Amino acid sequence: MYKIQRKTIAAMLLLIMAVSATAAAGADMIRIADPSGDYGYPTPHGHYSRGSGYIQMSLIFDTLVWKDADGFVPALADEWSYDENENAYTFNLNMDAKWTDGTDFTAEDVRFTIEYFKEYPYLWADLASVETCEVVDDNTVKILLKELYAPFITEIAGSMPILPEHVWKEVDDPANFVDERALIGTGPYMLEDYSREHSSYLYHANHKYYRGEPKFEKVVFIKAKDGQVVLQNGDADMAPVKPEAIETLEQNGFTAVYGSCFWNHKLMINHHKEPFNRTEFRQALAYGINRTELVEKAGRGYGSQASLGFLPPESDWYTDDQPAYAHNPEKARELLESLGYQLIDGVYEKDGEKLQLELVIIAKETKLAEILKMQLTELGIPTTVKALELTTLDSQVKNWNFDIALSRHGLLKADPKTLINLLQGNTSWSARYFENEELNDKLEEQLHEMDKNKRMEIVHEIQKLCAKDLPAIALYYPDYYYAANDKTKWYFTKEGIANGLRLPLNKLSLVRDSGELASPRTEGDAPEESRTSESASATETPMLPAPVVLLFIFVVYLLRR
Amino acid sequence: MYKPLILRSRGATIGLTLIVLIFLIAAFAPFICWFDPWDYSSTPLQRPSSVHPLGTNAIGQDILSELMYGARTSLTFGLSVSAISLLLSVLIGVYAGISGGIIESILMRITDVAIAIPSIVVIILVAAYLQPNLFQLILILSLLSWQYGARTFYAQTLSLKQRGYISAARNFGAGNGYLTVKHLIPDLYPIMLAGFIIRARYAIFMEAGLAIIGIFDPTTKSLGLLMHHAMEFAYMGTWLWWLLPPGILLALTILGFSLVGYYFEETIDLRHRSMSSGRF
Amino acid sequence: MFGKRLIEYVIAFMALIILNFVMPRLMPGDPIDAIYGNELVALTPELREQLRAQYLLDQSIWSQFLHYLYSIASGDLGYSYAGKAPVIDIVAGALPWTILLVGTALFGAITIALFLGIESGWRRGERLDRYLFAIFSIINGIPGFFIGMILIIIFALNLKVLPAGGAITHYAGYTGSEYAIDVARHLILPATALCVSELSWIYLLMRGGIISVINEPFIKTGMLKGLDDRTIRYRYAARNALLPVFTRIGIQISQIVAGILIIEAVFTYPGIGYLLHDALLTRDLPLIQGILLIVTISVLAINFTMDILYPRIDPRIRHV
Repeated sequence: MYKIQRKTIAAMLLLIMAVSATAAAGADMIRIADPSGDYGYPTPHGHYSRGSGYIQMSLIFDTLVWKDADGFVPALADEWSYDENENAYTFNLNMDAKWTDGTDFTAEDVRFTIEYFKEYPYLWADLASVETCEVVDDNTVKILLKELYAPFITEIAGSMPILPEHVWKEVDDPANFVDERALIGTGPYMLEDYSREHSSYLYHANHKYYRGEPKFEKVVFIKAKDGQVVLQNGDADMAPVKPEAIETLEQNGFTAVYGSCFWNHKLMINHHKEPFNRTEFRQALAYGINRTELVEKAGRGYGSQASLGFLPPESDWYTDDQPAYAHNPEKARELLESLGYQLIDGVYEKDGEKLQLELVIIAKETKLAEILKMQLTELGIPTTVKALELTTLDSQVKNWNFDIALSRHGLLKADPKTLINLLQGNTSWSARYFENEELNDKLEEQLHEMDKNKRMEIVHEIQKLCAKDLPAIALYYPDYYYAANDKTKWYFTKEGIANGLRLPLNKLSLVRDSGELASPRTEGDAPEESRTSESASATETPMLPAPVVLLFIFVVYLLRR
Repeated sequence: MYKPLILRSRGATIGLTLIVLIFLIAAFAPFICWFDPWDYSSTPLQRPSSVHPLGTNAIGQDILSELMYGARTSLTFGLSVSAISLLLSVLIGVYAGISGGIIESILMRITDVAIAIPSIVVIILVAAYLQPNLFQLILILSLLSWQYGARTFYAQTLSLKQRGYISAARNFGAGNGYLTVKHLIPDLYPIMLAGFIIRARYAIFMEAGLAIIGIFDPTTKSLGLLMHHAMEFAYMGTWLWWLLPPGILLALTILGFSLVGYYFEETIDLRHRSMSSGRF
Repeated sequence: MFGKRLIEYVIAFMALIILNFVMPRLMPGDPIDAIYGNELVALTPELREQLRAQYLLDQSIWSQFLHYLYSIASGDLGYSYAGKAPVIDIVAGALPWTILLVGTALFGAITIALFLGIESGWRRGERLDRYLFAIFSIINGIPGFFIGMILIIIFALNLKVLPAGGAITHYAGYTGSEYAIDVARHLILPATALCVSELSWIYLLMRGGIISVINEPFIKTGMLKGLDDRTIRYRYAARNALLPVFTRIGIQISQIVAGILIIEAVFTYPGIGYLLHDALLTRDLPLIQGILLIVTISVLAINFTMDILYPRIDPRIRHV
């Protein structure tokens, strides 16, 4: 009886060891992995509000203009112009574009889309500034604005997906319209399957795409907890990874896709409450916080110090003519003392009352909070950290029921309209700061300044004012790393995809450039593929053989006895 | 030479040794560690070295120090939950047993309902809406784990009530309170001890589980949280010195409590055959 | 007896329903913010109103509660804001995978644990017993996710023989037996991890059970009757030893549920556990509620079944 058992066990172990070889996808398929995976049904009203949902939708639906690594490029519109007198944009449309059901794309579709989104608002295209859309002729539309509106091209022309009128005109519940017809677009790919249960998407090429041939026959999006594992395992061609994993992955033949300054960790300050309502106090905090150390520790060196005017140095709109608040504890102490605080036993006191702050955070940001707490405590401002659940935190911040709080937001490289959302928006990550009249005026003014240079100047002024007043303290910008094999070239889009999305998943990476000839694509790629997977096993963790050897010895031992 | 009964069992001796060792580590953590676990001044993600025997974590804190302080939190958590839930069990079980009548049936009905409620569901639900801190979590878990003990103590009280000396005392005019304090409680000590150990084991294990799914006070350092943070970097080869040690320490702690627990279960089992329901 | 137990289970169920209902209403702030958080680019007032109407957030607490009870009774577990689908549909999509994973793992765990527990307990003190006991006592303290991660590191990351996660290879075009093999390959690691972590406590209880009945008169009687050794072990002793396993399930079920949750999360296995894990991360509250409700119902049903079965397998009760 024992013998039988041993053999069975050994056979089972061998079976486990023998089941091998992952089916490597061919060169005409690309698989993109991501930890969340499910972004909803890829129609404008069907996708989840998060940015990746927009990406899924963007493969199917085109906008009037689009962006690549260098800026705006034509999409459904070949060219566009702005008429100052009329305050209107005119778009010349591409007449080769066809809906995937074979119908021609026309100017009527654009007019219809604007009216449709006015009736059924779409998060990614706020049409409040649009008066009306006129069809000039079959391939020309004119969009008239209610007021001067600088972010128009980014926010509307570059973000609003155009819908086919002949499909959507009968749809009055767009969120629940999940018909096959809902997926008729002009984009480079067509949805073949969406599985919520597996969080996966399968697209196939739209060979009638008007801006070039899709690079891949199939595009697959899958969900994977750890990008490094699926890349090394050969289960994906592209995935977000940890910065530390890049070295190993590069040795294995993957390329890093790197982006910075798309995202910001910041410190919200309750500027409605003593002593935070004093600008000097906020400045003291800014001087007292060592932001270099935050990058080094919380960001493990992968990131950069944030500028206090919020817009990052990589943005076209950034100015370095603003207070930088380099770490300077002496200056911080001076400012605190100018407010009447005295350092007694390492703690600042005023009128016998000890200074004591509470930093509220969500659980994910514990590490950053630990460092901030130590820094402030060392400065003489004892700080305690309290982790709250997100809703509670948001509500406390919104009701001004906190001292300081950690917050985070993106869209930093987007149109400077983002500054309004950051400073005066109605969200919990907005500073909601209205105290400075000049700042209020400038924020409004830049929105309606159509001349880019003049607008630039105002935006510079805003950053200066903002860095002086410090309604919130921007801490650092973490870097983002993706890794991919050489099936295609990925990049981060200038000012982010559409409204400022920080994902390197631009659909143009999946379309052959007009420059790239329609050369046979498979031959060049195939050997690369095998090289990659072969070299992969040689590296990474040195302890790999031990368990294998042990297992093997165990099997042999079982069989012999 | 006199040898305490417990040390005559090999399993229990090993278990006791483990518990004592881990207690020592936890109690003397500040004296053993040469780093403050909150001190982030070292380079992040270092490999083990003579300075940092287990390397450093993602923000440059010493993992060995985190481990020792983590054992502290985990033990505190386990023992507090165990103590509070034990107290509740004894109060409810003994009170129900002594009083009889309507109080008895109400209390035991509540106990049965509580036994039917899966505690993990309640914990996740509460945690989804609140971010409980260490103290609140101890309370929540205690409130969710008294019911099993209450049944045992109730059964014990009933059986003890039948004993001759209790009836004798009652005939001499002893009141319920007096009976409970003077006779019942001392008789229940061994079961309380066993229940305490087994509850502590359960709570320490729960701590790890909760921390791993992200439901534990993140501003503390515990074994579960240490593993939770280690998981993020586990696939980069750091698992050997970051994920493995807290896992082993946790396994050893639980082993220690289990072995001692078995010993008590067995001894009590021999003494009171009738109540070996296995539920503590 | 059953009636009394049934009432208890109904009360427990109601208690959880009320908790399910009350918790979200205790939260501060606008529920719309709780739903969308700060992930929105811009929430225009019109959109906010539309969402508010869409999610029926304007009605009174009582009508909301009645509505809630009514919907649960009619099998409607609410609507996932993030998933844009009825919760019941999302859960139904994930349930088969959990059943497959848990079924395989628990079947394996119970079979192996019963066998090993009986053999080990019967041979108390012998070498086999000592080794098994030591090994499983140690494993008993190791969380399942830990075993899972070690398995991933060895078999997926280093050996590359088995997939690191998921339940199928996406869009590989497998059909028939190829598909079955693919599902099996994805199942091996998570099922092993779950199996091993559940194995230990069942083994320990089983062994303890055998040891405690080994000297009982009815075993002695069996031996004197000249019954086959194996018959005694597996028919008489095992049946009695099973009792503590049954009684312990009530306590253990929370840990089993937590174990499934963690294992599915580690392996991104698309079952209920991972769904819950994701819902907790994305704060999809209706989905969390729906899943917890399903879990509650399953747990209560399992425990109730155990209570009914208990007297049937307990010879002491049956013979009385």
